[in-house]
Amino acid sequence: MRWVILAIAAVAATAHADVPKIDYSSFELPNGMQVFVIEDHKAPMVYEVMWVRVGSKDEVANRTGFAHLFEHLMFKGSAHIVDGQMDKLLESAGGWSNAFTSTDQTVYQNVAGSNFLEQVLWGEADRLAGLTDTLDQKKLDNQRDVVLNERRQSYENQPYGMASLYLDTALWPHNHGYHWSTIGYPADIHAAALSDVKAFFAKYYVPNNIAMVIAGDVKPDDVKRLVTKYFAWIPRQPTPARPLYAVPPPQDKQITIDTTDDVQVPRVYIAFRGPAAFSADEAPLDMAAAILGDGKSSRLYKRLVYDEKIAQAVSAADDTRELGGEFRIVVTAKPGSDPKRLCREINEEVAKLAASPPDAAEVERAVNSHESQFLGGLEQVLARAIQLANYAVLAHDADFFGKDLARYRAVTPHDVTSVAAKYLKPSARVVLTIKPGKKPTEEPK
Amino acid sequence: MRAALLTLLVASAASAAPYETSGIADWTAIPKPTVEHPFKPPVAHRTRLPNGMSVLVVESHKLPIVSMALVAPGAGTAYDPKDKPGVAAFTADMLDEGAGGLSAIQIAQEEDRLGAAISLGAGVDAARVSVSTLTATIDPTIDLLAKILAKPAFDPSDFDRVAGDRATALELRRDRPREVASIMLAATLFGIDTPYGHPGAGLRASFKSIALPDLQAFYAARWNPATMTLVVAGDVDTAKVLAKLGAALGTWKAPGAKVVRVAAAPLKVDRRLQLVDRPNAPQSDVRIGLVGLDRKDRRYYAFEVMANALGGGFTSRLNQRLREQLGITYGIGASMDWRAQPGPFSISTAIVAAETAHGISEALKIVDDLAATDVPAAELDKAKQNLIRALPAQFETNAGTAASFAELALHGLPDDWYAHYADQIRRVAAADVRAVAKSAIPSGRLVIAVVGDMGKVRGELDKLGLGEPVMHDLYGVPVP
Repeated sequence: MRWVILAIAAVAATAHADVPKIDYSSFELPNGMQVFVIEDHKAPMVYEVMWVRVGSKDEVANRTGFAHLFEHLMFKGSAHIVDGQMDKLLESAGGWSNAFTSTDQTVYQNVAGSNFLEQVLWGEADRLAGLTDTLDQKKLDNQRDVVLNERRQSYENQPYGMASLYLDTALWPHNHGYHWSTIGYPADIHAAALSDVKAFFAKYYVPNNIAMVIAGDVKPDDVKRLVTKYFAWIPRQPTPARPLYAVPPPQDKQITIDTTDDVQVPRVYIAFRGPAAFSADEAPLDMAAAILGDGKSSRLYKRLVYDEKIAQAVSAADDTRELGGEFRIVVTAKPGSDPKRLCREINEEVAKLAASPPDAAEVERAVNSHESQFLGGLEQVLARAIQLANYAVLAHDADFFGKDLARYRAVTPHDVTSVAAKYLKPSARVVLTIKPGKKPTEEPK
Repeated sequence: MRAALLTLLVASAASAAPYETSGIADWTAIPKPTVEHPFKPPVAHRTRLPNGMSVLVVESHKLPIVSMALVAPGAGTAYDPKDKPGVAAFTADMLDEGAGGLSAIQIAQEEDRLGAAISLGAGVDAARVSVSTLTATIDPTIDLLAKILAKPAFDPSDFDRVAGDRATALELRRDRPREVASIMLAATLFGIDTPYGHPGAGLRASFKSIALPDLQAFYAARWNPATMTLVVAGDVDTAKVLAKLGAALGTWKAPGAKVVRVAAAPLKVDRRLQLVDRPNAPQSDVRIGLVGLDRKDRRYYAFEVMANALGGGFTSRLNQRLREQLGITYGIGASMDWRAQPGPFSISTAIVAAETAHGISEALKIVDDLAATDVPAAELDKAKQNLIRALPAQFETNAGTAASFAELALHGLPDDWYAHYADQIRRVAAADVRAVAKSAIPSGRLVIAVVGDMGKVRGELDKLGLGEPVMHDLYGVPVP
């Protein structure tokens, strides 16, 4: 009876929606700054995204964490704006500001009532042109303390919080920009000096290293006029000469790390280097992650949590970046479960997927679930603006929305198995086990 | 004077950028806003299914997706049996662990196939269900939802499996100091065996006493379609989706449902420190709070403006002082948990261990200032604008729209409540803010809960003059 109902539903409904079109316009200032405009008048708000092509991979020796520390300093006033003034203006305009830093980019966001468009652009231009004019040691020291508190809150004082640092250092060789984490080492954060800030600003915070998106209740003509007024005069600078990294040689032997944390049960991480963002292998490997460990319909959930009851939680994710990705499976043990058994069974499931193609229905579920999340991710104007910048910079194609959906719809069971076999090899594994015990006192390097 | 200072500064600082070539004569002149475009919150179409379930529909056709939010008043954790905390949350958790002839795994597979996500959980006053799906699969998604809501299996083997997962989650609670700090605060304010005072997921000591019949009885008595509200928001045709909901859910009845009121009265507590010793913690998780107002209190708007100025945004007094001036935290905020009866108001932060007591005394001073002096006009305006203009973001997604209307229904507020929100906030005067700070958050009633390394923080905490502290174990339960 169950199957009859499902069969009827399958005929009555096709999960694929039409591909929504994201309308935008774009122009480039003579100084090389790329600008995109998304017009959406649903709410009287404006969203400004400034995507700067610099991240933690561009940091130099003994200055890990610097790109992120620098991000914090961008909110401490500039040539004509005193510390705290811009935040007050934005909040009075019904908005807020924030930013995030990753291995490859630093992305600033300003939000305000749409009638404050000019004010937003004025503030952004003043810090892009004159951030370091008013920057002093006191501001640097303050944000250094804030960042160290962020590190405590998000890593050191989180259960299993240092795991990503262990994995980054193991997966990428010492001479690669992904070897250290974006948050950086405390000693390096302490060492950052005002001269470092000025040099970093002069090199990377230049118009020809920036993609900007203005979205929301705006008219493209107004945006063009005002962006030109506030940004076009800022001089183009030499293309930043950033550290370049060769593709690291393939890992030829499993790396095993055993450590402890102040936790109740063991947790196992199995990680591999994966493909770069927007490369051909990304979509099928994303689907491999979903089939293995995303949600209750996944293989690892069924085996380890549902059937055998030896795990409390499972997850799998394919995190892709500019120069390569990290594929990561995380399994939290039930009290008393042997982490070695968890590792063995995870490895068996990975091997199975690498050896024989999944059912078509399994791939269909993964693709439909992805599509629904993708569409949901376009609801917010700000999220759409960030996605557009991501496409423009990393996919080199701002028109990628429809193509992005299409590449997932095209994934076949054979594609999934073929990328699983290519990337998820036993010799390419990093196996990290965190067992109950003391908090580690040394940083993974 | 500030302008003169600025001019000097600009003239003397060697700018990296040639501002003189910008064509803008005065960079210190802040560009004026243009005319404000008004925002109108969406309007919901309201109706009722034959079984009494209220349904609201808000059409929005931007993307081919739909969200739904359902509230089940009386099925929240405040309605847990007194000796069995955790029953409400466990019950909500069980509904999609096998229903209408489908196993838990089959339900999850069907959701993925439809591009749907259905999640269930127990809030304090109500249980909540949220659904997101594609327009193309709205009908089979509603069929699946109906099975989960009206035909849960409550199979003994599923019960054993989920009970195992939930018991483990309770054991792992001690690894999450933030959660422990919040649990300790609520337990101190209300009493750990009361509707608002116990943790929703339950307690380790009593969890094993929960049996399958407890969940079945709770479901039969509390999951009552006649008192529920379901909000549908997104790319739907109102008439069609109502017809489908009527067919799938309109005949569902709960003959065993009972109406029960709970009393969530606050305890009389003084301002004592509530502590958990967590050796080697580099930061202290801090909660400072008291029993505040209920959702229908007339001081709601004044309170929201006050809480915004105190700890609502980045420029709030607490965040400016503790983060931007002192650099002792990554962030600090203050908010009221608005409930049917007065719920907890709390200031939340994590402070670097060595500065814990310093941070707490600064926070208390800031609270006192709000009751002592009127907020300046610019700060008042900032707080009000920040609240008023945050409204569009609340309705930006289908899920946000659905949840906003569902929350109104839960508290018996009118569907057009948001249409009057901006006017009500605009009416709040500085004197109202000061008055509500004085009457609703007197600092002498604030309870302070800290999870941290007592070896590092205790000495300074004792100097705050808050009396002999009450010690709790690593799970936030008082040590006898």
